[in-house]
Amino acid sequence: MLRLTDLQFDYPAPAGAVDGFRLAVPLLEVRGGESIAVIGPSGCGKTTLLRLAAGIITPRSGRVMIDETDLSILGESARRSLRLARIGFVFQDFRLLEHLDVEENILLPFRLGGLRLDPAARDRASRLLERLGIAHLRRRSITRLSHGERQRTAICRALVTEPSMVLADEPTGNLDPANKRVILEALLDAAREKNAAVLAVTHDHDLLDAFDRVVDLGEGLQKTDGVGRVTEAPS
Amino acid sequence: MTGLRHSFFLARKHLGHHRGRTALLCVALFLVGFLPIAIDRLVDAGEQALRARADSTPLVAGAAGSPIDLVLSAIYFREPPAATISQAEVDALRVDELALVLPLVFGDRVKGGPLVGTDPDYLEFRGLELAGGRNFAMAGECVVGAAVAAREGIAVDDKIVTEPREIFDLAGAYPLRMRVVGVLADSGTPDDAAVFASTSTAWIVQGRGHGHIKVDEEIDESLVMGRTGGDDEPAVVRMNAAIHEFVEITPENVADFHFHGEAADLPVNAAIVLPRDEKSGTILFARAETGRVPVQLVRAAKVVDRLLVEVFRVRRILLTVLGVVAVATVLLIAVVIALSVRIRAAEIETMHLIGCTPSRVPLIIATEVLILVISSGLAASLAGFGVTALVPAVERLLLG
Repeated sequence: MLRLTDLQFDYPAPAGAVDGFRLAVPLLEVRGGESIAVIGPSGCGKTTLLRLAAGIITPRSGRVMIDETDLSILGESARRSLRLARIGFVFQDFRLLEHLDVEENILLPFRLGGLRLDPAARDRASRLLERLGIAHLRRRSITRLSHGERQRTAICRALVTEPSMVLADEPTGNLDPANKRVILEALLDAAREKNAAVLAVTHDHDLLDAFDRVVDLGEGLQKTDGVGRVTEAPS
Repeated sequence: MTGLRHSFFLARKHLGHHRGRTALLCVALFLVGFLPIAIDRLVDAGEQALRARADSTPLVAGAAGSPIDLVLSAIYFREPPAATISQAEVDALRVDELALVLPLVFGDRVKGGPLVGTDPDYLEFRGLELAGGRNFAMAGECVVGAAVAAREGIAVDDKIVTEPREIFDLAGAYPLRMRVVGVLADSGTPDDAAVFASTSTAWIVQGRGHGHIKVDEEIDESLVMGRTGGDDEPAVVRMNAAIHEFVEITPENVADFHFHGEAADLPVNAAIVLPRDEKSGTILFARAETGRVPVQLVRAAKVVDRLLVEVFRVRRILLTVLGVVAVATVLLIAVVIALSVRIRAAEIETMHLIGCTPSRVPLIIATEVLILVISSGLAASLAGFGVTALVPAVERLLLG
């Protein structure tokens, strides 16, 4: 479960400008097995929200809770460990490593930190490959995959650690229309099966019906002055 | 350990994926490691071989000129020195029996090796063992070095022909067919690559002596182009010279071989001089310096030492240059790796987003560098050891 409470994040003022912006999220909760789509115009803070939720950046104030863990009291190293073990990422540009084959990419999180690459992990990877319909591509180079196959691989990588939350940044942004819904549903179904919460940023309004809830972040951004005071409330 | 194992896996995968770049970096690092090792080993081995050969050759006599050329010629049978001494001067060195003098007449080749005309004592002086047969005893006989025999498949009683001195000079000296009376055992010295015969044999090959075929007796008439003269005139027989590709000295015709001019004037390229004792050596030096014996007499070891000083100087310069090149190469490789890290920014960011530990990315990159350095270093070391096998070839290349 993910819970964001009274979250505020200040963007630094652009070079030469005095005014800055603040992302404010009073409350956002995503329960296990639930999926939420975050929408809003470009630059409204959608990706920042994901980064805050993942503990990649820290807020000015407020709390980010993942399950029972408060990210705001954790140090950088602990946040990385938590991210590795409890959060899965799916990116618009897949972010797969070209020098690894499909299965090696899926198992990458186990080679980056404290997670054990044991037979159970390999078994989970095999099941996810079957589940996403790419088991026959297990040994194939990433460079020889279609976009749809790459995103399925990325979804497997996000879920292989059995995370409690999946953060997806435009997961269907690089896919052709025919593939978009199929891939998104594959992600949501697999996450639901693992009781993982999904927080996904998307521009595809046609796909919003696939999510349990939709959050429009278009009104979340506040204008601030040079010392961080809000000068213009969202309309 | 698990972290290292995973870092090694990822590093290996990355290097394997970029094979071309990895190979280039490996070659660059290999050369950085290999060249100094190779130069060091070759110079060391060359120095040892040269010194050993020179140490076993007390004094060398020859015409005035470069002592280095004289000594290298005498111990490696390379290109003969520009000037020669005469047999009379060799004999002058023998006066009072102060030393054993071994003349060396060379410059011609047989079966790819130098033909060395010398005294039969030469084999004993060098400690050369016969693998088969006996030492040469008369003109036309030869003893073949182990390497030549192995390369050419030569055995005792075979006949070998010297290489023509001037292939288009029909009026010049013809190649000589020699009988192999002995084959030397492998000695690991330049003697293995030479063929030894008497000085007379070497002079005949040079065209300074020859025999005559008795064309009025037992001659194949098909070789006769014409006969003139008769009972009261000297008989003149014109022969087809082109068919006589070589001459051969046999016990039957050896008496017909002779030298034109004075035997004392026959040229000798160099002579190895083994003084009976230190005093004899000093007397010989004095005679050479005062002109009583008009030859240049040098201590081979001292000449080689002077040569090696130059070699070491060149080695130092070479190693310094290589050191600078190595530093530049390592800096370039560092730049390549730094650039590759920048190119891999997306990959590295992905790993950080997923949650890799802060030390993992530097560990993976360090492992990649280690793999490159260790594999190149190992290859350079192995190749460095392999270079030792090239020492004889390099010796031949440099010293003739």
